[in-house]
Amino acid sequence: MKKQLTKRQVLFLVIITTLANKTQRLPSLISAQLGRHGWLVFVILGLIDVGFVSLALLANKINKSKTCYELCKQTCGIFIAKVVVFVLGAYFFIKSLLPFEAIHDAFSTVLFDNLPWPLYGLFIIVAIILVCIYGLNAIGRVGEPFVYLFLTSFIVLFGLGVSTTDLSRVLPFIDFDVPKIIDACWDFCLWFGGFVIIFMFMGRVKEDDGKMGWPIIIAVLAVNLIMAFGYMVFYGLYENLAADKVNFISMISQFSLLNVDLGRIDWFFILFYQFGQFICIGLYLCLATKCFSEVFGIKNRVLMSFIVVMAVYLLDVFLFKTVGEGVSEVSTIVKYVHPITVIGLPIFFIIIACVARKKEKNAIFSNNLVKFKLLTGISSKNIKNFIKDKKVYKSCDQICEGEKQ
Amino acid sequence: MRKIVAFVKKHTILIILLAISILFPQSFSYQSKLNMRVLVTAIAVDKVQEDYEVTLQVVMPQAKAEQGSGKAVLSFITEQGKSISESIQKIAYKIGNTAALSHVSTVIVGNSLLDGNLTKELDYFIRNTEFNSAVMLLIAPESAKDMLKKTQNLEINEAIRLQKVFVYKESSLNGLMMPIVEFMNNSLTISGSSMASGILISNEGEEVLGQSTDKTLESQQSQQQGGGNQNGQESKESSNQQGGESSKEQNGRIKYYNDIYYFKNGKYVNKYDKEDEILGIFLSNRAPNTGELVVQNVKGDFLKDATIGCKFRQQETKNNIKFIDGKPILVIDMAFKDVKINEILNQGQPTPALYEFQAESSQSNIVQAIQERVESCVRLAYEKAKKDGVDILNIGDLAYRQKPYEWKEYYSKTGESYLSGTDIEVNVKVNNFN
Amino acid sequence: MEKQSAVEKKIYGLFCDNSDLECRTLLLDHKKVYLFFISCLVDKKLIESGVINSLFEREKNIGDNILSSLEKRVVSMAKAERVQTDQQITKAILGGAILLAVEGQTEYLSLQANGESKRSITEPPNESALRGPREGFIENIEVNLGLIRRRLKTTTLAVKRREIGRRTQTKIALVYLSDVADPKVIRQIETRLNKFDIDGVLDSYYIEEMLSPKGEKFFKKIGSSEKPDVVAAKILEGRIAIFVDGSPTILTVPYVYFEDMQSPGDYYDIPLRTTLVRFLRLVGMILSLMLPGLYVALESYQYRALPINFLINLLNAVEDISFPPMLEVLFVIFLFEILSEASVRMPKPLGTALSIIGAVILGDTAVQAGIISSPSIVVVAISGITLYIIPNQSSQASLLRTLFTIVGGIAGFYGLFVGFFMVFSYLASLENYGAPYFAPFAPYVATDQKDGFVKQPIKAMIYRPKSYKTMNSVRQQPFNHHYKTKLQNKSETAKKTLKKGKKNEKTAD
Repeated sequence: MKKQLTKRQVLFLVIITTLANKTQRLPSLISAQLGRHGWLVFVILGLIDVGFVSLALLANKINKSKTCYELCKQTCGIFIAKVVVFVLGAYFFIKSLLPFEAIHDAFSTVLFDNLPWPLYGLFIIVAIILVCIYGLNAIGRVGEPFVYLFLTSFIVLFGLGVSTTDLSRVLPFIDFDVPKIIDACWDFCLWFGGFVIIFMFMGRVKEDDGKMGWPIIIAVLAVNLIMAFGYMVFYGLYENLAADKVNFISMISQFSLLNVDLGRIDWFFILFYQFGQFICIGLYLCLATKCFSEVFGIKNRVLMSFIVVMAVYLLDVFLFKTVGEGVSEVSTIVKYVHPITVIGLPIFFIIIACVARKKEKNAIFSNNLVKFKLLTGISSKNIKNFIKDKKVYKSCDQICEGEKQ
Repeated sequence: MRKIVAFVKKHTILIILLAISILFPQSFSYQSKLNMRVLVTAIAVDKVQEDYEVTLQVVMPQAKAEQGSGKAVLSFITEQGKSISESIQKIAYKIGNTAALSHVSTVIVGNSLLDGNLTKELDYFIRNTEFNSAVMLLIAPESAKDMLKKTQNLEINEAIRLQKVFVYKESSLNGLMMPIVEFMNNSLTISGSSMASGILISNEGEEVLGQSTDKTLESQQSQQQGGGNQNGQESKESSNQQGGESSKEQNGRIKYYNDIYYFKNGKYVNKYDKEDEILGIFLSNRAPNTGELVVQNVKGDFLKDATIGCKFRQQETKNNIKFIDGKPILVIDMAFKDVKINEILNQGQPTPALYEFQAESSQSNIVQAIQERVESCVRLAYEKAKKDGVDILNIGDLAYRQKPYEWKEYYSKTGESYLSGTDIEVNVKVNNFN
Repeated sequence: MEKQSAVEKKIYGLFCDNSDLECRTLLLDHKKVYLFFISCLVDKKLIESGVINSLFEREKNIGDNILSSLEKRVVSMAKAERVQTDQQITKAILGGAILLAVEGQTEYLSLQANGESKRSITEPPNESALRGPREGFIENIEVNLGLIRRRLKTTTLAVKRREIGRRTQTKIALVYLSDVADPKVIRQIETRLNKFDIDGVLDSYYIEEMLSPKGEKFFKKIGSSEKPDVVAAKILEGRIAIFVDGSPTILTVPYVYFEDMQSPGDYYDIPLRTTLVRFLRLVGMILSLMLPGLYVALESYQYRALPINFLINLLNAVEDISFPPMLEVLFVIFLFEILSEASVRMPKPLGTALSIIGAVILGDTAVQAGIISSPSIVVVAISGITLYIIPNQSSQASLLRTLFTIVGGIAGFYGLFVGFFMVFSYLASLENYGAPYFAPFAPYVATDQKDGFVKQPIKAMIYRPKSYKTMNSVRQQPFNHHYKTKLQNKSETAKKTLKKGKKNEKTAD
């Protein structure tokens, strides 16, 4: 298996997927339900994400050489492997609807007066198909320089919003309704769990000098906390009208004095920000393509990419009449499946990674044992006594390794 | 599939050319060519019986041949309709171009709209994504259309960027830049109180500088009404004039202290039209950078008849709530930094007044006078609104944010009439007095 | 006409009827010695004062072994080589050698006597620098190789020669450091060159196309330069240089896009200035590609992004223009392309006059006539000037600029965004001879950042570029104790690499 991504690229992709999903429609949806306490959703679901991303990274650390499909196949058999990978593929497919809707929203309603999306949407479809064909390699490389643009745009827009907001509107912190918050966490879980892509990176990350564990955990935590603060800023700007302001990233900078003096130059930053959304769609659909290829055994990458991407386009254009409808329909279905992927899969992969590792160690040990017997001439009966002695156990490995060298 | 891929690879350039040739002419139909749009910078809305009368302030480009000293000419187009949206649409049909509303910075609402619920009337400006969220709301004393047409008498930059003018006015305590979004939001809070600035444009020579009484205001208005109608009729003609000629008529001035209209749950209640009231409400609610204060009746023999002009910078206001006997008291802590005496008009005093002024007692008396003046202004504004049942200082919201449980207890006892039990406490501190 | 001897018949028979092959017959010790040559290829002075004089130098008997004897006589003035087959004979004569034939002998002597005219070494027009060497390559491969040899005085410099082109027999040389360059890449190049069967190779561009991946016709995949110091630097970095006889442009492989953002002058100036200039080049590149498209998109769709005062000025400027913005800008681009193309070919005496006419027509008259507007001229002019901030990429940038203008006119910001993303994704996915196209930025290669946009001093560049594989990655030892300690303390892997580098150098020595 060719290693396609570096650790740095993985970190950047996780940052992009974690942040990009939350900065379009989510804050306005949460504000409609929770009002001033909506930031708690970001904190709670963010902390859940942080907890389970650690498990996902641990699984990745235990198993570095096999992809998730190979790992499942080795430990649980082909059928379960296909089921797991199918679930992953379906999850990525549905997740891709979020950034797709975000781009649809951003371009057809914010940046343009009236863009005929069924026709112009095909541009982006062609681009995404090409990106899926180029593969993870290309997405990782594209993500690296664009993440700076993406983050800079976010910081600028955020900064413009922070300078004009009234944070006291978020008060009081203490007066919240716990059942409502739990319901909201349940309803909006689809926008979280961006770390699930890490499972697909198993076996595809190069062993280089970079670090992947702590930086990703810190990044996921930081992004969620920043978004919690971002929600407060957004609510501080619009308060009771926040539910009507559906595009967080374009609405947050509208009150800045810069706007009054220089016009809407924040539009350029909104446009640069959309690069992150695009990388997000490309990544999700590329991963979905890989999953479905493995499940259905279709090796033709072009065909699979075409089918998957066109399915997203058709859903967006023909099934969902409006962006809002699409998002709410999808989130209603996915909230029942989401816990399986976010909570179930990390635990599952840790278990099977440990099992696979133990199996490998046992296989190596039994090979070494055979060599040891040949070298020393000790009989099988006596070897068991030797094995109990840890020093002998170690020396067995050492002898066999020395023999290899 | 392979054949298709091979075909596409072989004829890639042909396919690209085909796509471009199909989309090329399409782009002309979807293209929002700039020439096909009229650039609207301000909108005036009045109500005529049951219909809405909308006037658009449009910037007309000048072709090179016609360019004079000015860079653009304003034109005003009026139309009536059952809704604001319909009126704007009718304007588009009338002139054959679509209205480009993205640069609208100001919406002027006429007196006729104050009868109903303003938040409902202005719903169009919230829903339409073409408008910037920061579009400013102004109230005209009579007809919004006439007031908008008077902007022709202003300098062109001032006329098309009224929002920026009011931002500066707000920072110097003589105007209020209230975005429509914020106005609507404030009407949905616990206190339900919202404010909007009035606008009064008069020709030079007509306006009264500084404080204006009701009578003066009325006479100004009556003069302007007569003048306003003439201006309205001449607007079309003046729009066709050269830039050089129009500069002769640019002698309009926006009134220094604009009236502040206050509303409860979107319905108009009353307005602050006195300087003290306006000053009081700004000092308690807003945090401007600079401001001017005039104090009189300073204690002590030396300055008792003096009028002292002060300038302050970096005024900070902190509003806190405390509950006394279960009732919310708004504590307004104001700190003035860098207060400078700009001018002392002391009639009948000998010239070396400076030495007397340098005396510590004189300085402390001035500071005390400033404190008293500020306190009286704030209290004046608060009491006036309280009489009208408007929680102008947002005591309800502040109480809920800072002490939610005490507030809930109090509100459960008093309900909507919570305002009668409230009071304010104003503490003014002057730092760095020069 | 004298009857031709057997030797003459044979040699003349190898060439076509009207060939410019000359023959001089000498009588040496009662034996006929023929000198065959093509006069325009040989140094005529060498024939008279060199070959003929040295042949008649000794009056003694030639002896039985005629060719050996003659070889000894002429060795002082020319390199002599024995040739026998027809192919060798024609190759020698066509390569500028004098063929010495003795009647009755089956072997011949080929005497190197190249006298072809050469251009003097001057600074290349596209790669001038304020400071640094001003030498440039010329069309003669030997001179070019000499320029490199003078700079790389090492025994590990390998020069592999071959000929390509059935009729042109163009000389090609692969030059690299044998202990640094990746052997896999060398093999790849040789394999591709071996597959190439063509009539003639007239310029290095033929080889460039040959070595580019299959189907890739648009983007540049092979580096090039006309300066010896640049090529020497690239060879030192582990690249392979390809010299082609008849072309002053030397190709280098592997190629990364960022190479074209670097210029020779960057290494002869203070790092801070270089950093500033490199960022300037990046901005210039983006402006050249995107500015016309951006202008069209802003005017057509996203005018909301413009401040009101600027928008009013723009409205005033385009008031009288009857064309849509896209057509207007495409027209101006077309005019600029015509002007630039014509200026390359127009005679110098007319250059100034025609430039003035072009400027007046475009700048003033066309605007007044309402055909084009002044903002569009400004935009296209800026784009046109910045196009040559990276001259090696100007062809691609020019085409992309036109494409982006069309895309911007069709779909505004959205089209530009999607188009840019597609192009970037495609380029990011490319990998040629083991080097990713956008290295060292995508993928990020930490050590190569020292010569990235933010340039470090030369003493900080301890390692060769790691964007592509080299056999020996350490370029220099850390220059002082403090830096040594810092490097060693930095990470274990850095230590290991340093040790590995020392080991490799020891083995190389």
